[in-house]
Amino acid sequence: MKLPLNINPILKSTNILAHSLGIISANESKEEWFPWLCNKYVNCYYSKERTPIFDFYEYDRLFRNINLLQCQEFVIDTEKWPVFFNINELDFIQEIKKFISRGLYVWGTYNEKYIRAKNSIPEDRLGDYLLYGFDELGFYSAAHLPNGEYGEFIIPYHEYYQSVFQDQYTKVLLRFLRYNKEFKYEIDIVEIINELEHYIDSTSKRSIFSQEAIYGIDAISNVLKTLEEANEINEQLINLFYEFRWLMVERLKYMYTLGYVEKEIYNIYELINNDLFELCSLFRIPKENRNSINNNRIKIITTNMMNADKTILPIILSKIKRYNN
Amino acid sequence: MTSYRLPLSMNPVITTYLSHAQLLGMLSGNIENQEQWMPWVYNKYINCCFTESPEFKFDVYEEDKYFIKEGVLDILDFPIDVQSFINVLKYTEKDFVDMVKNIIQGGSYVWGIHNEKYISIKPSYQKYDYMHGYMLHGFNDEKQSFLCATYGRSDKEHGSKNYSEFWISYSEYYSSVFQPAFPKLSFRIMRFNKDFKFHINLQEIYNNIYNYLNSISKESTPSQSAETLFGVSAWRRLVLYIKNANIIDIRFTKIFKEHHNLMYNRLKYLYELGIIDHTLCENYIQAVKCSEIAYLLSLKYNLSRGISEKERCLSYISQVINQDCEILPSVLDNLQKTI
Repeated sequence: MKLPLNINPILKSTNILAHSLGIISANESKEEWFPWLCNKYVNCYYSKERTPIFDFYEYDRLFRNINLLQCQEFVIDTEKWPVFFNINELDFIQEIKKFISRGLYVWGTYNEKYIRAKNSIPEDRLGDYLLYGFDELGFYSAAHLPNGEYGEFIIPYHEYYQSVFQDQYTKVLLRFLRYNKEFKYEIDIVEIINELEHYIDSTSKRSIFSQEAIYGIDAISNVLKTLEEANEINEQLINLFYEFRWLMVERLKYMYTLGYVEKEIYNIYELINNDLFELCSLFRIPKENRNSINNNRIKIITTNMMNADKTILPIILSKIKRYNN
Repeated sequence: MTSYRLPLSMNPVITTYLSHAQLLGMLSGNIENQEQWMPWVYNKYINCCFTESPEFKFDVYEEDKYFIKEGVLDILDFPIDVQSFINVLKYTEKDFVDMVKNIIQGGSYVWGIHNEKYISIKPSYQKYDYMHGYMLHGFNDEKQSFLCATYGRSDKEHGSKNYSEFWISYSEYYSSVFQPAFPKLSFRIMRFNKDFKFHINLQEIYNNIYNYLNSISKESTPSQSAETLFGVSAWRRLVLYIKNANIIDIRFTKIFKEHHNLMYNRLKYLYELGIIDHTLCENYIQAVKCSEIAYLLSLKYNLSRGISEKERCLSYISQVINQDCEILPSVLDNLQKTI
């Protein structure tokens, strides 16, 4: 029994991106969902108080409010549930299998210490997981593996039960998600305009964090500085930055195909971002090993990118606005 | 397993309201020897209250009705989002019934709010939505029913709402929870803590009687509106209520009676411990008798609408309040000497 899941979604630098887009893109063709995706993930944030410090900004991250992924969430009290519900390991596993059989993805948190595929270092760590099927060996799961890649693996039933009902974390999440086949994917130009305005102005529609955060272009500026100055390579941060920039170009390309953006302007923005791959490769060189040519290239590409965001994006925004009116 | 029943006494010392009846029923059901837990009950239910809203009600006052903070019960809340359970989880009647049966079989009581419109033993059956608390403490597969301790068909005017065990069919119960009128429902699993040590606490009794006489509460919570009255002031408000009532809500005179009956038993126990004088206990018998008569007169009034029944009822209630104010300060003095 296996529910549809795309293990190679277009964004996969965090579990939350990979899981949700993995479900969506496995259930619908790209022609259907990509225009809708252009409305989403337009803005970004930077906050030193959070992990990761830079990420896509999306208020409804599980797309629950728009009823795309219908969700029932439980908070499991790991001490009380087995006693109060009078369930043992077998019962719990059977329940999870029952719900997967009914078309529900299981998205929760567990202690990764008990998951062999996850624990390169066996230590208590609260991680999140997605279950989308099962066979005689265990549950099919997808997550970021110790090598940093997003991939699929099997969690033996006993490991899964242990990872949920352990004594380190007394509260863990258990979410059941149903993909809503009736959902109508539509591009929303007004939403794109609003979000682009926030991005350019370095603001957000509303704060989803209790901590202070920086948004939009300022967040890009901060993450570039962090990546440039970091002594250790942060693969996830580089991937997040790459995917964010890549999606912005893809979004504008799509807007161009719809006629909202003029070819010349889009081409300039695309040209500058063509250096994105090179920039990320340079960030993957340890700081102490970078030579002056590397450092110069980083300076040039980042300056160009920031200039493009500050000068070209407002022009694109005004074109979209004018066209929309 | 085809049937299972958790311990629950159907004759607790307070039956007027479900919450008290359920908790006290669990105590006496789980601990056979009443002497083990009854002294602890004497620490409780001393104060009383009147609330104007959200419900117009006279009751004995305990902030934590199930004594969860104290550790008598351990609970697990499992709120039910009706639409989500049906549409997302595709929860079936069998899923839900099996879950509830399993919980009961594991030694836990199931408490919640449901819509009595779907429960055939209830007056609101098939007539109107009526959300109310319930507690399940058993099941029987042959009967295809859960055992529920609740009030049967009766009304608030006549008769002593009969607190009893009833069988509620699995399908009725499922319909009463997964109904369309109220989208989010409380569902709580409760376990009686067998290790809890029940003790009498003279200081607590002293404080509660003091609060009762001075019409104050030990806690002040945001839910208590300005209209909330405590202690003897609450019972004085009962007098005003009865004066103006065309029909007397019988729960109010019944809880008045139960409150004073329990007070008498408390005083008797304190006397047996040598803490208070015999005369105080003796004198209080009159208060208990008056509260019993006031209750019966309120029943009679509802049947006859006779002015004299109402006036006599009011007179007896006033007498009881006066006796509280005369006798209980001496009880406080006696308690203080011991403490």
